[in-house]
Amino acid sequence: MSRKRKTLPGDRTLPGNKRLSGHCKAVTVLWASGLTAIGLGVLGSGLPANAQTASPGEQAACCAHHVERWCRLLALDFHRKQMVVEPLGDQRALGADMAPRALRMTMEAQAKSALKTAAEQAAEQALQTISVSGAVNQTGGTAVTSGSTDLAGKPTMTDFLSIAEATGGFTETQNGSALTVQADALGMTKYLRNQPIFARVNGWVADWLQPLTLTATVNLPQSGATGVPVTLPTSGSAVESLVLPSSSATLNAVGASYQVYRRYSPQDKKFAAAWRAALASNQTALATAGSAVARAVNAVVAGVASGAGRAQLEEAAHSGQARAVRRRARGILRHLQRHMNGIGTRWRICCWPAAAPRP
Amino acid sequence: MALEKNGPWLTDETGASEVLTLSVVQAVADDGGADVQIASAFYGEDATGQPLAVTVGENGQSVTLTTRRGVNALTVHFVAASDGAATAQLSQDGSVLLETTLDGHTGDGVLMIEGT
Repeated sequence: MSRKRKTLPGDRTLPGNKRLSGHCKAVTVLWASGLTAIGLGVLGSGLPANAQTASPGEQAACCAHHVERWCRLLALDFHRKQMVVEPLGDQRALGADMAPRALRMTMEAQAKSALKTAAEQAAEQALQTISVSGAVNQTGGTAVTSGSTDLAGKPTMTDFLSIAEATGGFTETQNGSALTVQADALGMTKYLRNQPIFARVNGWVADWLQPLTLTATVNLPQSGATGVPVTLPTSGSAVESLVLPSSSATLNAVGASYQVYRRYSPQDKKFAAAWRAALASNQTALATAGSAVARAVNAVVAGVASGAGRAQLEEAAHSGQARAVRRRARGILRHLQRHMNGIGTRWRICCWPAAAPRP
Repeated sequence: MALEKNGPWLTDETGASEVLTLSVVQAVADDGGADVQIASAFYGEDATGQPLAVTVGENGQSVTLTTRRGVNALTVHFVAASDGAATAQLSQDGSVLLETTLDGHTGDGVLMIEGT
């Protein structure tokens, strides 16, 4: 964040009949960021003839923050109960000025989103590779009892499960206290072979694996208590404790299903060959059908791409652009407001006037 | 020159040759994306009002068109071996231009392109 002091000629006199008190030695423009610079460009375009004067206290606060020019606008906003941007008048010019910046910021946001998606995919791919092929030692202590293990102690195991679920290796559904995990044999095979979920697995084994589905249902722990009546013995030692089984997860059922009748199975080489043959032999019929659709579409497009239809479409698109510009302008004004916090909360920069003409 | 999103349609320089490639982003898990194909594609129309066919690439995985002046529609007819639902996209240079859903072996998508 850098500051640059700059004295603006004629900044001490308001347009019209008012004059600010001359407490400030110089007007400081705070070049805090690109947004601030834009905001100054927006706000510094002009003022109406009946602008108001800031009070001495307000003026002193403005001078203390080196924002004397903003004081005039905020004084106007405060006294007239109007929006800071309204005095600009020519909102079409404002929109034209702001549109390139808004579009650029939109493009940057889209680029960031695309990069984020690519990074997430790369991370998943890496985790998938690690969980399948990495030899990672168990962390933490050893298993509590013989024959058991600790899932939390095996970091790649949790990665394995989460990524396998995210990539379609298996699915889980919960119904009340019952959790059912379902794994498709071919999907798990794709996962273990580090293949994309939509990749086609070639080979005869794929056609055999595809209909096989494995399921396991687990009863989840349930909280609760059961009352047990106790009769104390009349003689002998007292009952010291009762041991009741605590609720815990139990494996309820394990199942496997194999779909015998498969009407359309792209994994079946015979079906795939028959499908391609049918496509080739019916190419003319497909083209005729596609042409009919295209003809209907062309008739619609011819109507909307010319005359009033085109104007309406462009107006709709322009409205969307204008909304983006207005959102950006509001963001700039809020940014300015944060810089003006020291002046007083009663000076609120509100919002774009609802009844203002569309830029 | 690539197709650019501009308002309600894509814009491009008239006479430019563009290639759009097919990809499948969602399909019935085991059907395999390669089973979705472009069966036919038409772009614009001739003087008699007949839709003009555009070149479909090998195995129906792409379309190639030459941008015409004015606003014209690219209508793409997809087919899939599977009868399950699948989502197919047409992209250019990593930018998704068209997304459509296939169901019951077939689906259609439309792009409006303005040649300038």
